[in-house]
Amino acid sequence: MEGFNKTQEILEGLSPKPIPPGLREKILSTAYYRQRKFQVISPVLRTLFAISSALILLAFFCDIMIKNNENDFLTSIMNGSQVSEMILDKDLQEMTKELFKIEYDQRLNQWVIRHYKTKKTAAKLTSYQSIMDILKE
Amino acid sequence: MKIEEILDSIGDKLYNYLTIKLGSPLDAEDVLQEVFCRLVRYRVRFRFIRNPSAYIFRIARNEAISFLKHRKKNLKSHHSVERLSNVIQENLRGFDQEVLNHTAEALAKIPADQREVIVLKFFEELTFREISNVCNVSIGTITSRYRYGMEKLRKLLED
Repeated sequence: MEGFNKTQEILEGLSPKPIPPGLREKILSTAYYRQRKFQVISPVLRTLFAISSALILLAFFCDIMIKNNENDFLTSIMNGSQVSEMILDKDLQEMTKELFKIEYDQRLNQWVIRHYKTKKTAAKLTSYQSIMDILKE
Repeated sequence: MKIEEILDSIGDKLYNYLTIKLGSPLDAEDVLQEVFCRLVRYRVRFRFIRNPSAYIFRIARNEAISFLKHRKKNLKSHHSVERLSNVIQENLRGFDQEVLNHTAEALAKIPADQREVIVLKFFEELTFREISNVCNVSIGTITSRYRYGMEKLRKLLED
């Protein structure tokens, strides 16, 4: 243990010498040269990027504002009823109907394929009417 | 943190560590340049590092290892005990020249991984946790390398 402590003391008494003169400048100049060499975005490109980003944001906010104004205008024409909600409701209803129909057709198709097990016949089934025809047969 | 500040704060320690690791001051200069080039190129990533000192030492270690891989043919001459002992003597300063020479010789004789831990601990003043981050091994391995290295150094210094 004593020897260990002595070794520790010897090592603690030693310190690294400073870097040789001129090396600091050499390292910094090389580093900054490489930085310029590998710069992905040049200053001009960076400015253009900032300007285009600002324009995109401006266009986005202008679009929102124009949309709000249009809605207000249409609401005032249609005696105060919310146009956007009406349109949304209508779209939603139609979409639901379509989805229901698609799913219904698909299920019928699957049912026919399961029971008839002939892909040739099943391939002909494209609509509800054709399925009903085959079932009648 | 600016690159100049980093160089001023730990430049000496990095140079010393690389010189002992590579066994040549000229190679250490080249690798140190490469380390700072990397730091400048990836300075965005550097902002999010919790322990910059250990991070830079790790970069230096990785660069030194890849440098040694490229110079595999000259590895033997670089790591001869006599040459390494001279390099360590030239890189360190102490009160007693004789003790310094004797310690440098002993340091050159111990295994490289144990020497690395001792150099990082005493001359570069890193903690065991930081050394484990630099070397990418567990603290347990680092402490055992330190213990074995110190034991060998003690025996060599006593002889």
